[in-house]
Amino acid sequence: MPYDPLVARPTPLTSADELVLPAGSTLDPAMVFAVATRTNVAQATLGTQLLGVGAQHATIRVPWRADLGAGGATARWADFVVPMLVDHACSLAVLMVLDDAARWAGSLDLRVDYRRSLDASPFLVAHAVCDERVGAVMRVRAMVSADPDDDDPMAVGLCTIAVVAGPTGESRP
Amino acid sequence: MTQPEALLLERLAVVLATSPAVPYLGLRGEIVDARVVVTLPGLEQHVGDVSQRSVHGGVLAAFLETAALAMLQAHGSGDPVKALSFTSAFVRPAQVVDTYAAVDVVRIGRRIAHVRVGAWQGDVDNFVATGQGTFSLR
Repeated sequence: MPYDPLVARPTPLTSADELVLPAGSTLDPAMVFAVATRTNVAQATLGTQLLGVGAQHATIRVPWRADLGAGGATARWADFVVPMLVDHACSLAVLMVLDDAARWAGSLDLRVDYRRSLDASPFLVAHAVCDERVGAVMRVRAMVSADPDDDDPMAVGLCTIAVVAGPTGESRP
Repeated sequence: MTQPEALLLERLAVVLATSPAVPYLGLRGEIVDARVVVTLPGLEQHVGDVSQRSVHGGVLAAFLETAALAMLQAHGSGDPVKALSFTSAFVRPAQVVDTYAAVDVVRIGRRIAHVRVGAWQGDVDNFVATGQGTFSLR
């Protein structure tokens, strides 16, 4: 899965002013930043941070907190954090492809495969890539790891998201 | 409540008491529509789309998976259970009200278990989300 260090920073964006949108994007950076980190109450509560976006992808992370952990002495991320992070990263990736927030219709399904132990780490990162469009749905792949450069993810996800037809009636962007 | 239901509810309460998802999501076990269920309370912190006032898909997926895992442990010997894969289908928008998940344990083998989950709000015949998962029994 492609990971572009130019658009996914090692440190989180702290304001929309720092957000670099891909060439040709007509999205409002303030809206993208708000959707990623603030206006989605569940994600704001989770403490989700935006690392970057591209023409087809989005990278977010959540910092470690005790209430997101499990396992007592052998601390690890609680499983429930993974689908929450994957669903949001996939939605953001679709937003970038659509280039129009009004065309995002909703998640249809989400699959998460757990590949290895969710060992405790300073951050849990989700990197989602939307690279398949079939009619009125988009399929998004996501990797979850402690570090966005890690090519051995703790979990992988697959999300199907419904989209609304574009202004000319086409269902594909 | 039948004796097996009471026993299952008691075991579920023990399992949920140690689940890290419970304090975060606010889950509880109870009897609803004559079934032992796991309940996701309608809390503001679960809202995803503020314009539609619906529960975030990631919260629903986390809820279904946690309910499946907890009920599997309540049915079993109490040994640790680990999710291998879990798929959630979002059937219709979920309002910010209590959501109930009933879990069907399809099969418990020696090492692997298969589970199905259905979640509803007002009407038990109209699911807002469904899920199915494969779990490792260690």
